[in-house]
Amino acid sequence: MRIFKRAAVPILFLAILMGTNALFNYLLIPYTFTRYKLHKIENETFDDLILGSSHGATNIDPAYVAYVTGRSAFNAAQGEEFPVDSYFFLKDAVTAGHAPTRVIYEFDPNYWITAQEVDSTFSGLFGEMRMSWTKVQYFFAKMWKVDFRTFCAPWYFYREQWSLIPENLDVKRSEVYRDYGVENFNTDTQTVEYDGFMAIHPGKWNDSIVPREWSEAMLQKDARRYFVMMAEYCRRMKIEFVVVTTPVPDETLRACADSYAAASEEMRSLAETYGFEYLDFTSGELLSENEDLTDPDLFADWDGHMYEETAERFSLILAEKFTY
Amino acid sequence: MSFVSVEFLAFTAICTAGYYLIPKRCQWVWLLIFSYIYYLAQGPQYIFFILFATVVTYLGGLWAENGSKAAVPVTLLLDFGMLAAVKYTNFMIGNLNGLFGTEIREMKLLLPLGISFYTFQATGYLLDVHWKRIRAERNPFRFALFLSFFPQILQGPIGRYSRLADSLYAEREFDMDRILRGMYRIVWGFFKKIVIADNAALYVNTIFDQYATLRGYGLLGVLMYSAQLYGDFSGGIDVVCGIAEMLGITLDENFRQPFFAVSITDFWHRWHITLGTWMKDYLFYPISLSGWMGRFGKWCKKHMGKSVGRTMPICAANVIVFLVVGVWHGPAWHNIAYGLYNGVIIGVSGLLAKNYRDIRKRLGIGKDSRWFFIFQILRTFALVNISWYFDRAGSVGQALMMMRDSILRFSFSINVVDAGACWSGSPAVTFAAIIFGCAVLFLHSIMEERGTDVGEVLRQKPLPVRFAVLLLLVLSLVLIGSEPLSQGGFIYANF
Repeated sequence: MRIFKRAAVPILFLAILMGTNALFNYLLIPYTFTRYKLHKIENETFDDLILGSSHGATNIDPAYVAYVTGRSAFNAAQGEEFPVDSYFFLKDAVTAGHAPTRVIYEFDPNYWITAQEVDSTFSGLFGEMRMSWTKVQYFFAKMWKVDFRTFCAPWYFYREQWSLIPENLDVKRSEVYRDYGVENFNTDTQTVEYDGFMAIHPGKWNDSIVPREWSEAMLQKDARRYFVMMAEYCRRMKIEFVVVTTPVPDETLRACADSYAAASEEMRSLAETYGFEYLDFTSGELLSENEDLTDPDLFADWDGHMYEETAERFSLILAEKFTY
Repeated sequence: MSFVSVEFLAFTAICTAGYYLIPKRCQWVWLLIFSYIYYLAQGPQYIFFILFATVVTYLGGLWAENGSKAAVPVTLLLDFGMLAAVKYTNFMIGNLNGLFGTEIREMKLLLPLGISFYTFQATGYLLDVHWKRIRAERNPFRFALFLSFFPQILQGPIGRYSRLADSLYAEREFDMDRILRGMYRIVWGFFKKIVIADNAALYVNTIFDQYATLRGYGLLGVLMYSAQLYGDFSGGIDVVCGIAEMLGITLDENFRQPFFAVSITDFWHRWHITLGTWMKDYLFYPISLSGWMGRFGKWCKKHMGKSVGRTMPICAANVIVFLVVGVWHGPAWHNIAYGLYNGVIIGVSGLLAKNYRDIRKRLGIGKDSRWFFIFQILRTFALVNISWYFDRAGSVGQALMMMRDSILRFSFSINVVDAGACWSGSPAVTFAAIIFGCAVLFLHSIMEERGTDVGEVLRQKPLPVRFAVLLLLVLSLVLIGSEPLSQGGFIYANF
């Protein structure tokens, strides 16, 4: 009884601390499409699951892929989704009983030569996943070595955004949030569709993003490791695995020719080793066949994020390459 | 394994829980296993070095106890030889190349984490055995634990076998009070590290790394470095002592309100205390009591008079000790300059002590003068800050240039740091966080200096007050703490 009494004080304190922490999480962390995308892949089965970075999100329109293939498709790609995240998203979908029959992985070389930044997206990608054994594995892969605040108090990435509390509260009490809607992600420059596609509206060219130079020294071991795990996992689960590098403006391609060539070579070698198809629109036949897709006017930025119409055109061309 | 990582907190929790769940006679073995897991997690390549120091010192201790005259020099040579080889080889090569124009290539050497700390701990043990202060440890595994105890291995405190061993090997019952005390201390350590040190690091890195363009901001930079270094080192030690406390082990204290010191000598009795006492016991006394120093003293008395002659050997010993302190801080001339600066000030202060007393008497400043006391604290703070220029700068030239510019081109702006680099997007908020952290630390230090045990006072308060204080402390880590990984690990872990 005495031990219980003594233990009651720290337990009570922990309860208050956790309650306060949960309150701040609720007030400060906004509704993001990570929550929406994870909810979809955890609760619905799609034939084609698109994973990858922001290029995947903006350049591959599942509706057009589905139109050509006649199969259902969902785009779970998003900015700051590194191979480790894609791997666990796929595993999450499979273990939730919603294994796709094909994974279309969008390969952005930049994500393989850049260390993942510990920021709100970093914690959000993990935080929104349902509780499962996969999440435990994801925890050890991603959160184990980070600052304890990233895991214990993710609201701290939003701690300077107190003014957004009323807006967050409005959203979190709305039907859109309850029903996992996407309407509130729409802005003047973009629309998020229910199939996960992010349509960029024609507008001003953004030249602030410059792709980095690919080099063996900069190659992140974890990127390759989790990518290989994903390819192996697909093979084990009998899921078709296709990798795509989407077109980039010809200016970008010229400026970073060596970098794209090296990245392409790396992925081709992996494709040969692990037996998957690699569709590279930045080199070889696919590039020469689709040179009209490299006109800078078709892109929102130097980095290769397409305007909605370009993405639709590209998605049709891409889907034709798939087996269906 | 960073102290602020999820991994480390989980590691500590598992270690602590297991420690009280397993049979008591196995508790020290449990700690040894966890200590080696912790060290292996820093990089398996480092394990050879600590094993080498352990085996060599263990055997050296037994050998020395048997009365062998060769035991101590051979063991010291091996222990310090390893430290010198990994830490100072490239420094020597660089100096040889600079001096003689040779082109000897620098070597790619591993620098094992915490090597300076465990080497000093090992050699302290050896000398204690040699001087018959302690008996040599018979069990090699127990000795291995003494050298590798995981919280303290990276940045101290440098433990003494006579005080630490019994505590490490004792069998303990679970004690909730100790667990809570340990937790308080860990949270307090994180506050110092995350709120003060890591935020201040932003200013320090900006000003010291861009000193050639940000000329005149040296004073701001060095004051921030004071906050960073104290928050980082003492915060780290608080975490270390807090973990040890949870395990029922009491470690030596390493800090005692150093910025309330009234002289540089006093400062070194309050700052990195375990290094200071190590130097005093194993270097200062052997030097000042040596035959050659005795002869030097006699020579000084003969040529300089009785008073100076008596003080001179002590001053010389101090200069030597602080030269070693400088070298211990790192293989670079600016570190040596840092050590010498302290040594010379302490030495000169010793020589001029009588003159100071005379001046005070003539000015009518009494022993209890409050203003003079404050003046002494401020004077020491200024002297310590001058030493930080040498400590933080990349070279002696940089330190001197920054000192000069601090006076001749004095500039001050809290906006000197890039807003984009601040977690808040605003240098003003980061600066305010540092000031808040320092103010809390200052209040805490005043209470401790007046003999109040802040932790004990807090424990006497009603539950809601205790909860509120602890909750504020924890929340402040999240609210105003620096961003993760932005400022790196603990500074002293690099030693």
